[in-house]
Amino acid sequence: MTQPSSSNTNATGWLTRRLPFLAPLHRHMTQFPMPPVNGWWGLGACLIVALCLMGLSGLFLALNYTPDSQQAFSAIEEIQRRVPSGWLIRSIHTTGATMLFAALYLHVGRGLWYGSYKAPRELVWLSGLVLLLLFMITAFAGYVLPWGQMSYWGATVITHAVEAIPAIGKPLINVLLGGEGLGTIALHRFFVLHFALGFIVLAIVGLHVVFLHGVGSSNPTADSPQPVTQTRPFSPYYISKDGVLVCVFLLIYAGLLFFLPDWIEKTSNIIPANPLKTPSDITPEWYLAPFYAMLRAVPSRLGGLIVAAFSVLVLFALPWLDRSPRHNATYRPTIRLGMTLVFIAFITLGAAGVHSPTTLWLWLSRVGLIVWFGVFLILLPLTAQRERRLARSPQEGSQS
Amino acid sequence: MKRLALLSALLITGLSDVTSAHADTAEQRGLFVFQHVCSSCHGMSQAHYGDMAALNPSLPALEEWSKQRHADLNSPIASPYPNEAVGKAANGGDFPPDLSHIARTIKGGPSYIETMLHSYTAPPPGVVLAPHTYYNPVALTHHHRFKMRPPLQDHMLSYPDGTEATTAQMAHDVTAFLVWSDDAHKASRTLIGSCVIAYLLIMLGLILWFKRLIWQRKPH
Repeated sequence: MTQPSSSNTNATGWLTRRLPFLAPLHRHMTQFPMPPVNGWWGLGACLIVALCLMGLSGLFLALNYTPDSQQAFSAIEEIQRRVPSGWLIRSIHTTGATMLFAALYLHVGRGLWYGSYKAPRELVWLSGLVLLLLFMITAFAGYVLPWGQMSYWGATVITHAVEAIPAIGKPLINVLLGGEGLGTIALHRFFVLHFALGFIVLAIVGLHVVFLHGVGSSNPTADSPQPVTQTRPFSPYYISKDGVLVCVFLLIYAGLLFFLPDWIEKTSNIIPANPLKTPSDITPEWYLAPFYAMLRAVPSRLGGLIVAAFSVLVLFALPWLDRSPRHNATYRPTIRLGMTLVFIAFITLGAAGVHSPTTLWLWLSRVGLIVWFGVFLILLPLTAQRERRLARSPQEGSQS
Repeated sequence: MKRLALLSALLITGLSDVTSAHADTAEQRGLFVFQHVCSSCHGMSQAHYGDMAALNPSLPALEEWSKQRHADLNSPIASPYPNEAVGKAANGGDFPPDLSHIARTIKGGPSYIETMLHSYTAPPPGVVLAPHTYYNPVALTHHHRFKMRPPLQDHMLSYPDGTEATTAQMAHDVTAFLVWSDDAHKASRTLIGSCVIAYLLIMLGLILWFKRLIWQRKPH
């Protein structure tokens, strides 16, 4: 390791003398000991890349956007047709939303499967869930901005859902939207919310990384019959590994962006918003579809809202619901089954959310919900209790 | 820095060449049909007259077209009707829809547009047509009693490039034009996309090689 402070001629030496904590920080980041993690741990790097692309493209889009219900749609068309490279920057942003959520859900799924939420990583998990919620709000607000049919009617559905909160729902929406329903005032607020949240998210990502660096990454082999305890420094081993994964991520990103744009942009959103004409079926973007399906699965509006909210809130409680010393679901037969069911339930809910609510889809989403809560609230705590008992009396453990 | 500027200038000119490389193609003939036929009833309000420069490189000709319609190159190709009521009154109660994204938003897509445009026939015996109604067995609305009068007739136009202006040819060309206007940067998108994918593949190869070299070393 070269000591940056030994050189007083180059820029790093100049900086290090003025910011003495840079050298230890640099050393910490490069020598950060990594357990033998697999490819799923590279999703964090992909997410950071996606987030940077979203931020940069978003800044350029904001320069050409007008948050006015009469002009927003034309502003987007202006970007698409006449702003130099505007179509490219907007495609990076819209495709980025899909890529970001795909990586985000896989990242959360990795945390669930490998028990990354457990002590001592609770803060990493909780800050990550806060990020998940903020990303969902940011994506929703961003989707309203083009002011197409699906923007308008998607926002209508969600404001109606919030209105279902007893007593405070209607006044809350009234205050949040500026008192005139979905119009220019509301659109302007969605724009400011979307823009500001971008930077708030960036700050919390910083916290998320700080929390991780406090305790280090979890070791997926810790529960296996032959645990590997040897660590490798982050640089260069995991920089090169993450580099490969980021490259694959960008290849998929570019494939969608340049060759499958119709997968990203819904046809109904290139029709200007018309408050007098409800589209035949209102479907959210795929990444919000599971939660939309939860809203619809419960026959009461308030009930749907509560269930959808609790579906995420229950994740916040996971570090305390599952206090077993074991992490990796691969080596926990019941959890392996339970997590697989949870993933299937989430995908089923997503599929239900983008289809019209026929009886079949409604019942499939209800089953999905039962599985979701059943695994997290019943299977996981019971298994954890059993595993803790086994850990206390090893003889019993070796028999089973 | 100078080399970088030169390279980017080359790239930009190269790209604009791609986007305007539609001379005497179906898209360009389709613009001709749109100018002389469709635009007398339909608007294409998200596109500007100047946007058509990608298909018709003659700016004076485009400017003249816009002037005839009391506009300039920077104005949207608006509907010729002052308001919806007038448009409806002139077309048997249906307002001619805006064509900006029609190729994607209409049910059936481009193939429907093309077939529909040359499928007008005389009504079969027993079918009585109301005034301002035209029989089109392909039309998806109004039970084949379409409100749009047959817009194309053989040889109603003569193409500048000499192509024979049959109804089927014009339907084909104007559909190509509508597909272009829905997604005007498709050609650039494909070109840039291919370059990006090629770049990323080379990059992936290099990083994989780099990673293998690194992982062969034992951590100290």
